[in-house]
Amino acid sequence: MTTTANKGTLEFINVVKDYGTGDPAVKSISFRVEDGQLVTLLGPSGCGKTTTLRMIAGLELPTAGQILLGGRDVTTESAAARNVSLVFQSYALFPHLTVMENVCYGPTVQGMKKPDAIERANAVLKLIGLTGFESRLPSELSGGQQQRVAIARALVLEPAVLLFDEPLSNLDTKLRRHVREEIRELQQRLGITCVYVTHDREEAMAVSDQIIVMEQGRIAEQGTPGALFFSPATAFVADFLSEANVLDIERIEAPDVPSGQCRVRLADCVFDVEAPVRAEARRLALRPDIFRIDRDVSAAGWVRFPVTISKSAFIGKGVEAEVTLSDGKNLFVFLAGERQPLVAGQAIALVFSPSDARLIV
Amino acid sequence: MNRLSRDARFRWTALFLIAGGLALVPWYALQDSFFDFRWLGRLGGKDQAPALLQIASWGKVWLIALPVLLLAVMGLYARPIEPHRAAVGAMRSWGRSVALLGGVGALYVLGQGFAIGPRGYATDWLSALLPPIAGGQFGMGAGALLVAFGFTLVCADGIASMGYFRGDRFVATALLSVTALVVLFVFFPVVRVLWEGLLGQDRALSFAAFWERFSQPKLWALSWACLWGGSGCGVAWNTLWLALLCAAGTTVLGLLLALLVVRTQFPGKRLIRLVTLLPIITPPFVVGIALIMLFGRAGIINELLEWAFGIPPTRWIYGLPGVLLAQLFAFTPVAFLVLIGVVEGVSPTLEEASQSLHANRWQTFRHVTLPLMAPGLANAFLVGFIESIADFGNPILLGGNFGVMSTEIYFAIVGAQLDQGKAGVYSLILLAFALFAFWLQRRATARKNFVTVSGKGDTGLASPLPDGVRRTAFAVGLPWLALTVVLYGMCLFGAFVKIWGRDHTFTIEHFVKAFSIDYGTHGLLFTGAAWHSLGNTLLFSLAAAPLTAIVGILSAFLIARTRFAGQHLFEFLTLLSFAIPGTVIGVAYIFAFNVPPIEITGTGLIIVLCFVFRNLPVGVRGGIAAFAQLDRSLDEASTTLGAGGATTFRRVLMPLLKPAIIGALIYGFVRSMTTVSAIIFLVSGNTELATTYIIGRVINGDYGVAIAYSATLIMIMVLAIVLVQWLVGARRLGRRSAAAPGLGSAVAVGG
Ligand SMILES: Nc1ncnc2c1ncn2[C@@H]1O[C@H](COP(=O)(O)OP(=O)(O)O)[C@@H](O)[C@H]1O
Ligand SMILES: [Mg+2]
Repeated sequence: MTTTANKGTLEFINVVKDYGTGDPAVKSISFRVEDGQLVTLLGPSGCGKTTTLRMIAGLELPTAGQILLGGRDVTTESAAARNVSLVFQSYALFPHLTVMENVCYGPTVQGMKKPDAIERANAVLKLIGLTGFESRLPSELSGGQQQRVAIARALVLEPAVLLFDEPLSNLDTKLRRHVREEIRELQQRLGITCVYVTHDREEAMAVSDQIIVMEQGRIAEQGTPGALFFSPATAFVADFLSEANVLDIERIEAPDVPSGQCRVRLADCVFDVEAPVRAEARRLALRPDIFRIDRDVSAAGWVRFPVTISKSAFIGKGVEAEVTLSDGKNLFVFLAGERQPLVAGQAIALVFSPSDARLIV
Repeated sequence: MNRLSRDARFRWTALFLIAGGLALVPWYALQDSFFDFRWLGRLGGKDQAPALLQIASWGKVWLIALPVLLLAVMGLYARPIEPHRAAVGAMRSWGRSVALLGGVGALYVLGQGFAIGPRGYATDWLSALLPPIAGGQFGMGAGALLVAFGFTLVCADGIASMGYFRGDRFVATALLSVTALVVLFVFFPVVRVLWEGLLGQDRALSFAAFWERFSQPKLWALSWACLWGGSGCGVAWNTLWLALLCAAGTTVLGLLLALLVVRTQFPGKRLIRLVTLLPIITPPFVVGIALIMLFGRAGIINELLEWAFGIPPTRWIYGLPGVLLAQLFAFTPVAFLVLIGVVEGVSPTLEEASQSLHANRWQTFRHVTLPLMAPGLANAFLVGFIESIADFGNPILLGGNFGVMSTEIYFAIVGAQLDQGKAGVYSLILLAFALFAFWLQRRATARKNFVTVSGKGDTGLASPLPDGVRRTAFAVGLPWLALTVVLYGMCLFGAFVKIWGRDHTFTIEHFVKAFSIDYGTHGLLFTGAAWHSLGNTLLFSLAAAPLTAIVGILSAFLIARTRFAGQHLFEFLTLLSFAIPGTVIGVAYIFAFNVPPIEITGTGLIIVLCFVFRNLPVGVRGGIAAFAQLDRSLDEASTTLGAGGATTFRRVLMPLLKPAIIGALIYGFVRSMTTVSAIIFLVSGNTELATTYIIGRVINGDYGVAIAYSATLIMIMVLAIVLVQWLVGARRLGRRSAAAPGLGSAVAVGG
């Protein structure tokens, strides 16, 4: 762990948050967000993402543990004093203030002169593409515009860390992709540290430098989107990020296994996969999209095994199917590019590359 | 940096308040007004000296602890802890010391006031325990107030520094201040009055004395006569029976009227809504006087009966029937206001569901609609009950030999007997009735708080009422409406005739008598008999209204938006005075505040305080309802943008709460203008109020002036309401789409 800390470096050390309900909402988590990165907290509803975010903002104080911002301990510092801004899920725009007044609110309550505040607000509104809307009330804006005002209001303070709580959840589907691209683009242009909360894995992978996957108040895994998607270490992350099939397998010790590899048996097939990070791993994660129907075209080293189709549906970009292995285990597979659903009861053979399989705990 | 300067400002303010309070302003209460500032020239005097001088020259050595505590606080402030650099826990323990010093300081101011009275130590065990002192002291004044508040700020600073309330000094200050005020001006007087009931002749604790007062047959005699208010029935039973009848009657009437407005095609809906607002701005006695004019011995109905059928007039109106009738007219609108929301809230979807399950209209009403309204009905019943036992004006006017607790308390205090112990015990009984009713209501509705308004998708049509219910609603509601209009009409009539009942020539002499203005050598002379009391009433009500609003909204903020240990107790304390009948509050205030350390009997201050804390529950409830509609993320957004609690309150919450604040302002003003039971003991010659003046006229049988005055008061209140709405309500509210919470709910829970 490096010890240098820039303005936007954020660190959690063994932070616990107990609301007094008996089961802590956040159970001793530690992580580090590097300056200028966008880190996403990802996890199912109720896993403690919002609580973590609110502790960064200072809206909740941790029950135990330490929070460092820019290398400084801010654990007990009040939200008003922390150099952190939050974009609320509901935007929380002040309904009685115009767009300009909303954006100027932060600077003026911190003692900036009105003309200076307006100048800064104008710059931010321009940056975010809201010039011309200054005198509107929030109720006179569309959802997407309100979202931008909320971001402008947070940005104008030039915070060390900018926080987003599910910023896309109140937008319609078409707008979501657009806004998420905008947020990412803005973040990279300004080089600002961001912590972003979502429960949508696609959204998380699209915007993040790093993803922290949370499960029931704990951090399951942290890594880049690619690393977590392709080589998860836990069943939870494998399932949550890629809906991978998680199967119990048998590990076979043999002298001829190449170093850095493990030999495993699944149904009737025996093959070598990359050695797991954690030695105790006894399960195999197989993403649905790694399978192909065997039409005698499989490349060398691919694993081939017979299955029976139990259900199948055509979903446009391919075909989904539930299949049964020879030992009775079920698999969910996605066959890209297939144009017809498979017939239930049919027996076929599937192939996949063992390099796409992961041993996990 | 910003944060440090903000903290530093707060600390400097606290220190200046304490230092100034000790060195610059009179410590004790002045004989004449503080605000004529004549004390400025006599700061050396025994009565006017500030605390430091009192210690040095006038032997008040026990005050020395306060400058010492101030120095200790300054010592701590001279070495503030830098939160970023301090060791873990250092900030906390520093904050704890600050909080402790502040708390000790504030409590010491209060404690020495209670411990040392005009003749030295207030109790024997204190003189036995502590070193002897020479002389004593009288009520505390401006200096003590400043010092106590300053130490409260220090305590709040310490608590916030410890990390409570997210480190927000404003919240900590608000909590400590409101708690101190409520304890001092609600809890303490009530305990004081109950305590009085336990003291014997020698002012020692005596259960025998209590039992003797409690067990009188005058209170508890029970006979069949109780049912119709005949003689020989105990006062306690009278009160209880009257309250039950009144509560049941107002609830049924209120429900029928609400059904009439919400569920029928009745054309006079607007009239009903208008008429139901009248009693809120009607001074007490008006309804009673009108009833006398109508049904009294010389009343129109009796005259008619005698003229037509030769039936001799009787005095039936004086007693249980008259009081009950007057209360029904006065309090049904309150029940209506509570119930109209309840009836509107019954989801039509549920009724449609019932009908689709083949229930007929009556079955639907009986098994779905009524049970859904049960909590609302219980609430209306409770309000009717409390209003009835707290009512003073109607029983004293119409009661005759039918005594109730509130009038008995009055006579125990003002009568020849001046029996404080009796007043104390009676107050205790009345309070017990009120709390029992609250408890019953809580129990009855404990598991029945249905949410009937589900928000979206409730588009069904309300099912028509069963015929029987609809007919009853019309048959009862219409006469009620007609009678109310007649009653108010009679009043107006009475204000403009010479002697009501005897000489019905038109005159404005009553208005002239009350409000004449002459033009003399010194300019305008307000020679009318009522100007003095009207001026007082306006002054005190105008002073009380903003205070009620501020304390109420602050309390609501603390209840709705913060978390702290003892929050439920805090909420109970702020709402307590709703359950305390006005007469009890009045008695409590004289017992509590006619002796040092808080010696304010006879001043305008005691009346203003009484107004504020009596009307507080309405402000609090209105505020809580309004906060419930404001998303919490608005406060949090403001906080993360760097605003402290005070700024958030002023720039975000206040503008958004404007409707609730206006509601509290109007309600505080109107209730103060019309209240009588609580202040009847508190007025002095200098502080006579409109309502007490009117009582005087009524007791003299001078109805003309009384009614003319009442009509004037109603006009003033209507004007004030319109003015406030116009002044505060214009800007921007129109453009906002969010529904404005506030006045409606504030009045509805008012009772
Ligand atoms: N103010 C609170 N009081 C008590 N429990 C809370 C509070 N806020 C959140 N929780 C609980 O903490 C857990 C985590 O909540 P949250 O952080 O909001 O989850 P997420 O944002 O991941 O959906 C949940 O079980 C929730 O019920
Ligand atoms: Mg959340």
